[in-house]
Amino acid sequence: MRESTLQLINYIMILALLVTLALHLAMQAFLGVTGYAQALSYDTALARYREPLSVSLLTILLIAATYHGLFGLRNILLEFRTGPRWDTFVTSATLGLAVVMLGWGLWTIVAAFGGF
Amino acid sequence: MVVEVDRVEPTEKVIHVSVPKEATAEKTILLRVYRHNPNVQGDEPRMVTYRVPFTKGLTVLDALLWVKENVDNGLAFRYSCRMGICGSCGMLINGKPMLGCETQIAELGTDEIEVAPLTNYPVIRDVATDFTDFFSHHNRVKPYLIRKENGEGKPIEKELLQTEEQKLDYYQFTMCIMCGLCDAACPIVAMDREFLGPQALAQAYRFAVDSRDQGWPARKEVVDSPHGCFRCELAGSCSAVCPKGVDPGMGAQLMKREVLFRKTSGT
Repeated sequence: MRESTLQLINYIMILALLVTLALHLAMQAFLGVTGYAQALSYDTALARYREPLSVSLLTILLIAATYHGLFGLRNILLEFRTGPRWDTFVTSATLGLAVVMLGWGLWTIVAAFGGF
Repeated sequence: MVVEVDRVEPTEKVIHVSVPKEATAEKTILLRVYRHNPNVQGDEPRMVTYRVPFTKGLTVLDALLWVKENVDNGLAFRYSCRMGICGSCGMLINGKPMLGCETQIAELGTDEIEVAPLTNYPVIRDVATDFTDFFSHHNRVKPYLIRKENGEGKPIEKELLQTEEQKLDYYQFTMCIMCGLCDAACPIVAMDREFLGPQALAQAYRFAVDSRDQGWPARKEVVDSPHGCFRCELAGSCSAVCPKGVDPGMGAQLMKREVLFRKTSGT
């Protein structure tokens, strides 16, 4: 994939991150809860995972944060050394890390949503 | 042959060279010059201090030439036009990439001047550096007009008209004299040897937005690569050191915009 495509996706992810993170923090802090303690209680957290809107928000947040973070990490690592083998290794490693992070995160969301 | 890529720090040992009898100026300055020949085994990098007679209008290049003519004719540095046109005499002057011929000693505000080879370039000898990678990156972006009807590299036979507005799109980037100061100041070039660098990116943009050029497909392959324009992190030091007032940092950002615009618009 071309660098411009990766960069374009990154810009979209940044926008998604800004919106979803703001909503996520708002929901945790003052939407539908009466205080800090209640926001962190097990039942409140689980209830949040059972609402389709909240689940969608968390999924987008997870994907956007994972992409944005790993894209930045890849850029940093690409500057440390040079050579096509290093480039391929870094891209493959960050891609692998993304699969693990997304798999783990999505499984948590899906499992909680499905009531497993 | 260049054998040194990562710069070896000079020793603290300072050799003072006395002023020859011919020097009769009332005021003198101390010129500390990096001396090292990587091709000679055992020749350690060192700073050598010369006392140079100061005259009004004396530039750093003049001072180096004075040393070469009067004290040590083995001192190596590159220069040609002596008037800020050729871009040959780029060097670190008191830690900053500058042109030796355009830097007047009186403007530096000190009597102790330190001259060293440009950073991010291998040393050939003393202050002279190797520009092979720099010109290689420059050539990779195909810094010339490409016309479909003629084929790349062939001379353009017909007149290609252009409006004043179209010329202004790229005009400032034509002022580049390829002195390489921008690449010497760039922190990404220091980290990533394959990064095209601010000079090459600015030149890629200069031709990409030239209304007469049709070489975007070929040029895109180079600038839209893992070590192309998106590697630039806009430190801005390239633009700060340019002796011709070009803004290569902006050129790199405009190049990014151009790549994304052409990608999304399908042009």
